[in-house]
Amino acid sequence: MKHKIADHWRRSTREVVASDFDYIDIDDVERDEDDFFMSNGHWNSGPSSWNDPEAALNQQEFWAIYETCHNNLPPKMAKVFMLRELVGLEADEVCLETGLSDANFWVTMHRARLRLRECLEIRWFNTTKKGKHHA
Amino acid sequence: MRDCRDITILISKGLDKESNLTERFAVGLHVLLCSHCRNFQTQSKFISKVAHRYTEYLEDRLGKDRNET
Repeated sequence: MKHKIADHWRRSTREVVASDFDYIDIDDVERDEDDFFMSNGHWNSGPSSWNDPEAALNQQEFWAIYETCHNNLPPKMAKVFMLRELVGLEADEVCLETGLSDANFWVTMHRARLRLRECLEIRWFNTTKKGKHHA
Repeated sequence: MRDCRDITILISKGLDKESNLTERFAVGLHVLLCSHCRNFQTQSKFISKVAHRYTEYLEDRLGKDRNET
């Protein structure tokens, strides 16, 4: 089943070959991280608390949002995250599969989590909070 | 003293690999005082769970697609 899921993702996202990972630009990733943190290392606009995240798991619409957020990640980042969290490979297995160095792997996962978290907050948790407020 | 950027890197690493005692202590102390990083920690764990559950959701959907074709 793991392979079937991996295949599904390979088909639905642009194919990323292992050699692409040699060119992952760490400077780009770090610059990108400045969107999340100020130069003194504090949050730019920090994560707010989410209301009843568990309830989201039972809602069909939430999975569509999750899919959108995952697909919004840059292709290489999406693949690394998929191999680690969806396929469930260990960190060193992901590095082996993608040719990423340890350091690039940690940076990529950190970045993917920051992005997914923010996307889910904007597209799901903030809107459901608003919805409840109006109700 | 580590800043929020460093702490979130440690939190993220801790989800992929067991972190050492010094790192766990630094994270634990920081999240006591910083609600943003505390939220990042809880939500990153939640996202891991979502990703696992998503595979079940996909299995379901792919199963249905197969039955329809």
